[in-house]
Amino acid sequence: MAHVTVAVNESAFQSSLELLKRSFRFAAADSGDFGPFRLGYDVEAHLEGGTVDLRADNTFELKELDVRWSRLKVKLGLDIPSMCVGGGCIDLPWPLPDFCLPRWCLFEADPDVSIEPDLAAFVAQEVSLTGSLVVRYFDVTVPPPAIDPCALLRVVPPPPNNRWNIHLDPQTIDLDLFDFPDIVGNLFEDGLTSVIEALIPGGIVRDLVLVIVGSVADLIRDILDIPDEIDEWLSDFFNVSFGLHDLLLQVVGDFFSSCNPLYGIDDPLEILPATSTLIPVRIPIANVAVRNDANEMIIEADVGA
Amino acid sequence: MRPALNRAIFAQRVWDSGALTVLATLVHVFDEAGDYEIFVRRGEAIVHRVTLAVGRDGAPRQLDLDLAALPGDDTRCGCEGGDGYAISEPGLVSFHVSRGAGAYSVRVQRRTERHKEWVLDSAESIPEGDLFAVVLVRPGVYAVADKVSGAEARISVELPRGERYRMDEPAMVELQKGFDPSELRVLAGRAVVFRCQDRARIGIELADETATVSS
Repeated sequence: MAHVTVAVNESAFQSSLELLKRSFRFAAADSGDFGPFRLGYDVEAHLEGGTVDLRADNTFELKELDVRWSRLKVKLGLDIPSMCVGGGCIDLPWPLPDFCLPRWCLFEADPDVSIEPDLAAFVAQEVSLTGSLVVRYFDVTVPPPAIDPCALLRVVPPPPNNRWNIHLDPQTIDLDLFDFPDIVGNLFEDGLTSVIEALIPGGIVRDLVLVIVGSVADLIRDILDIPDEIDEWLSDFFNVSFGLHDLLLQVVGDFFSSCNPLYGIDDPLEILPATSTLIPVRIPIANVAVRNDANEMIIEADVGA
Repeated sequence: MRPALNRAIFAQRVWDSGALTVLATLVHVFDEAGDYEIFVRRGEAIVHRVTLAVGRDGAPRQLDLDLAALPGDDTRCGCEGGDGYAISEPGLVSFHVSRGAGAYSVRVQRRTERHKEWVLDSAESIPEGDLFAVVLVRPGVYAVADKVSGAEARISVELPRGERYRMDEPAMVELQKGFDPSELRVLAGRAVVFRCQDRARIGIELADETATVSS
């Protein structure tokens, strides 16, 4: 039988989890050159909402947790292809060879355009976790890893002493895929149309350029090589090509399971503080175990080495 | 930095086969093997001079010379030498102007062991068998005239709205005792190629810019 038993009800558990959840920050930036276009992102997110449910089978469920983007900038750069007039070949009677005409191009060099809208207001995702509570022992004498995966996720620095840590250990994490709405496609088209039209003077010049390229929308789709809507294309990039969905999934998992304990018990535990004449009284803690039922989390421990 | 717009493409409204400018191309047919020399003039000054060998085995059938990009200027002719050019027999040499406001003419001299003769002086006329092409960009009605025969033609250039089309589909006009066809409708940005069956000097002018025919 354990020497010490501590029970934390579901409400208190929720409060502790809320404090931890508020400290979550996810930030990432990356870019790629895909030939005729370049795509990059600069994002930052935090967590809001959600409810925790302690279950009778010694597991927990954290559900309806919202991923809120405070910044979701997407930078799209396009290499506008040559816009030229003339050209083509004519068939001359034998023995003359066919003749191919020269072209005249509108720009001295192929122009580049780019836009960087912030799509934070248009994206919302939910994440839910199920798992169990686990105990991990932090040994201060063990040197930290050469590459610390928690360096950017840790809310508080590692303690200066040994500690029994209680972590949420998610076994399943469900995160909504990036799904940009139609309005995002319109935002990109409008933005690119504006910068392309700014390159060329109005009147007949612009009329001719737009005839050459079709419409700006056609031009964008040709450069991006996409048959579908821009918003669907962008969603695929975020979910697959950039792997941002998987990265966020891993970060959420690491945040709770590895980097930030829900509770910690110092070892040895100080039960009486120091006074002006006496040193603090500390007791060693051993064999810490944690479990939960539908109502509360129970921590049991032994006193002694 | 904003890329520079090639404004000459939209500013040009008059063309003359005797004074080559942007959007115009003169094509000379070399149907006799031999050694030639090409003299390029801008205005009255010779700005470039180069040799051309016609009939060399394995040489290309077409040579394109951008008169605005050749070495040389108004003070010197760019005649310092170089390897010269070679084309097959028969072969074609085209002369065009890629940019700028200059007007150019070309003279070609054939040299043999015993004599030399001028086979082309574009400032005077285009010889029989040569071609003259112009890319018409601005919508409107263009007046075409041959100063040698007095023949005339009209070309209507259209700019369709909301329709994408290819620029590289030139139209052909034969010039032999008159233009055939004498009335032509083309889409903006496409070339019109005049094949001269007679000696000619062709002038083209945007006569009516407001008469845009739209679909």
